[in-house]
Amino acid sequence: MSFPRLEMLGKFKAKAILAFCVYVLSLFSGVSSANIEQPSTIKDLHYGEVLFHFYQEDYFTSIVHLLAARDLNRTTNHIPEDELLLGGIDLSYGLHKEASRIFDKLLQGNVRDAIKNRAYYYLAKIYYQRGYIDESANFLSNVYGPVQESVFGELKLLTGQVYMAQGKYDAAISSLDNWKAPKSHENYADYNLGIAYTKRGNIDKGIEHLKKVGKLKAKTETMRTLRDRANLASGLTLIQNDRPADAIEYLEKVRLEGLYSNLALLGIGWANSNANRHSASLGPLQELRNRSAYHSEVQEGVLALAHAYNELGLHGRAVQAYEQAAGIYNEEAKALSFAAHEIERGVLVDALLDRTKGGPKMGWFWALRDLPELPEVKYFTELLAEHEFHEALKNFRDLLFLKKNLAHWDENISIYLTMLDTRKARYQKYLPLVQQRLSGLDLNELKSQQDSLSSELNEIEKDNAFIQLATAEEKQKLSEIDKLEQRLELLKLQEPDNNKITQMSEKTALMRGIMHWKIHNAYIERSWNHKQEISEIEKHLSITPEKSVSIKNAITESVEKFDAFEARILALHKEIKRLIPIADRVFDEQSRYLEHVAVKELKHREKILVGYEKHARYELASSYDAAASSIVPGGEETSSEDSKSESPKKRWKLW
Amino acid sequence: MYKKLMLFITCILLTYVCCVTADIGELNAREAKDFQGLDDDIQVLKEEVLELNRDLYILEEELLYPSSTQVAVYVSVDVGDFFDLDSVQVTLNEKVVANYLYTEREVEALLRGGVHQIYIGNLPSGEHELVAYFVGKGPKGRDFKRGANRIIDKGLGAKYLELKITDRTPKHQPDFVVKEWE
Repeated sequence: MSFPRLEMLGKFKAKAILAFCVYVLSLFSGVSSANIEQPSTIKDLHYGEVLFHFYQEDYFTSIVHLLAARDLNRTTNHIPEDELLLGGIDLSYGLHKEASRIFDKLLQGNVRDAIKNRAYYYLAKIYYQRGYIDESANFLSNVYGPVQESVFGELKLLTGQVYMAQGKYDAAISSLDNWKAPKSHENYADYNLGIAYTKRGNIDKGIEHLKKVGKLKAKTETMRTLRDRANLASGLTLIQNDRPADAIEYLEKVRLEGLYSNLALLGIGWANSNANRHSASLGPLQELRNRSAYHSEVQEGVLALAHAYNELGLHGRAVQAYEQAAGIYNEEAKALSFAAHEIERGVLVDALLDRTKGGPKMGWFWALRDLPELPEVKYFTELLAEHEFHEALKNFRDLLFLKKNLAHWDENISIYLTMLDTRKARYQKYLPLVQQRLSGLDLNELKSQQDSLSSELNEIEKDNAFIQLATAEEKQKLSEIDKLEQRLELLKLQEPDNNKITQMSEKTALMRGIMHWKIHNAYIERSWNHKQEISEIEKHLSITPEKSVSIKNAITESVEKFDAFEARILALHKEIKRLIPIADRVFDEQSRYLEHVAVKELKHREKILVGYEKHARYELASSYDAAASSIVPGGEETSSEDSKSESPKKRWKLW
Repeated sequence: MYKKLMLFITCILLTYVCCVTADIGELNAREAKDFQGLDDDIQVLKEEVLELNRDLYILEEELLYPSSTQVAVYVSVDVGDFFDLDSVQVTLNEKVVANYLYTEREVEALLRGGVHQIYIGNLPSGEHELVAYFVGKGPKGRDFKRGANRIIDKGLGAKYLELKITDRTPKHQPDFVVKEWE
């Protein structure tokens, strides 16, 4: 082998190992399940309402509602959990400082150990997420005594992660291995244990745990990704430990379309190469070559493919592959340069703003993955994998939402002033009427009327004077009967022997009897109804003094209330007006920062690609020599491995 | 010979990596200067807008739903093994006041212990009838619609009502309850 060839091979291997080290660092960090707040008993509906928004990751609404509920004393049955929840949501919303302040304050107060432990857990999580591992470990070491069940699993996982980040793999293992994790956490625990064991050097034990996760029947995308990650970690670990043939089984289980598919394909190619099965490495590497050249795995893959051809003695194809690789790197570097230039021109921010047109809610619910599809910004999805860009984009989104929120209130707060004016006008219209009625109200007179009615009813009952409860119609009929009887009496005196008059008198007596019978029958019901009515009057009269005082107070307070409301609305509008230019300035700065992060990352990648292109061209030159010496004019190129072990048909299939 | 070469290559690679790292370091220092304090500004702004929105939220409630007439209806789910919630309809005094179709995300939030405010409005003091209809999938995935009602006595303070969906484990059936809160 010539000097440059060896150099290239060495470079390829060294680069690949470097690349794997980077992957392994990210892959081999611990994983955590989503932050779970298990339903505890809701003792205040408003507290539960806050949780409803929080669980949907609508942090802004949940903080606003929680702050309001606390101010209005609506979460008194959840003290001090409400404070802990506020700190947790602040943390989710990126308010690290406010969250830290809340937890510190809680820890200084006289609260239960379980509450303190949750505060220590959240603080440890804040510091871990921000990269302060030792501080995070320090907070975890303060956890002592009872821990709420819902937090316990998260705490265990975080403890393992912190130990691993500190390189204390034995501690991580002893923390996780003795723990019988609940179902929701067991896959994460197994994954972290697997990583801890492999880092400790106990490969088989580590693979045993990773294998469990690699086999899980995943129902959600999160679980499918975790499964891929476990299989990938197993495969890469085995490659690193010179067991490439064993690695393939795991790498092949990674989904072809998932987050880790590129790395798995590169891993399969690399494992086959290491196992001297170069022809088997062609398939996955060719598949990889067809993917977006932006991914570093693809960039590694095209070189690996050329290398595999060389190893197979297919120098002509190796030349083609190196040429293609150099071309890809060149094109991709140009595209990156163009994209960086476009972002500097403001295309990124414009596209994002265009994407988030609409009301204030649009700003919030706009998912980070839902990015514009423009040729200049085709790298956004890949950029999202970068923590710095992701965080910058999140802040950009939050600021955009704040801007829209302020604009919305600026436009709509005047509605409340209009509403207030309408109420004032209505109040002015009805006030004299109410005042007149109130001044004419004589409660003593009304009470004596009610007493009189009550005693009258008692008298009727006592004397069984049911006729007194006859209806107006019945009384009218009885009076007509009276008149008829009087006339008949007069006629009887004039014509004593007239039978018709006698018969008429009998009929009239019968009519009177029927009327009395009807009135008597209805008497019990009527009496009961009157009693009810009197009781209602009594009830109303009893609360009337209170109501009239309340109305009188309301009259005096109303003017003050209207003024107070007006003052509040005007003060809030002033605050909105003050915040709008601040939000605009911070948003502009954040937009510039976002562009800066994106451009920095794209330029960094461009630089790497330029380096790759140089390597590819260098190797191309040396491969030309090898190709010229291996290809017989007019004959087919044959691989050294293929010629030994595979049929020509198989070889063509591979190509 | 091969080992020497590898060492040489590693040195080249390290130099390359160091160059890139140095560039990045320089960029980071410049960037830190340019964007110094931006994170602090963002945090302060977020807190101020949150406080503003809290004040606006309280103002809105006091103006639109004074406590003397306020009635709020909430939906909660406890366990939920025997019922998959699709929608809830609320009627007050035979008038439909809320009709809500739940998303998967919202149902998930309810199952985790969240409580949804489905209605807020005003009612005078006295007796009122509340009827709620729950629509979803019952045991064995069958279409399921049930109602629950309650006569409520609205006093001088705000009235909170909870429409609670629970599991009746012995009967393998869901249960729907209207609970009054003060």
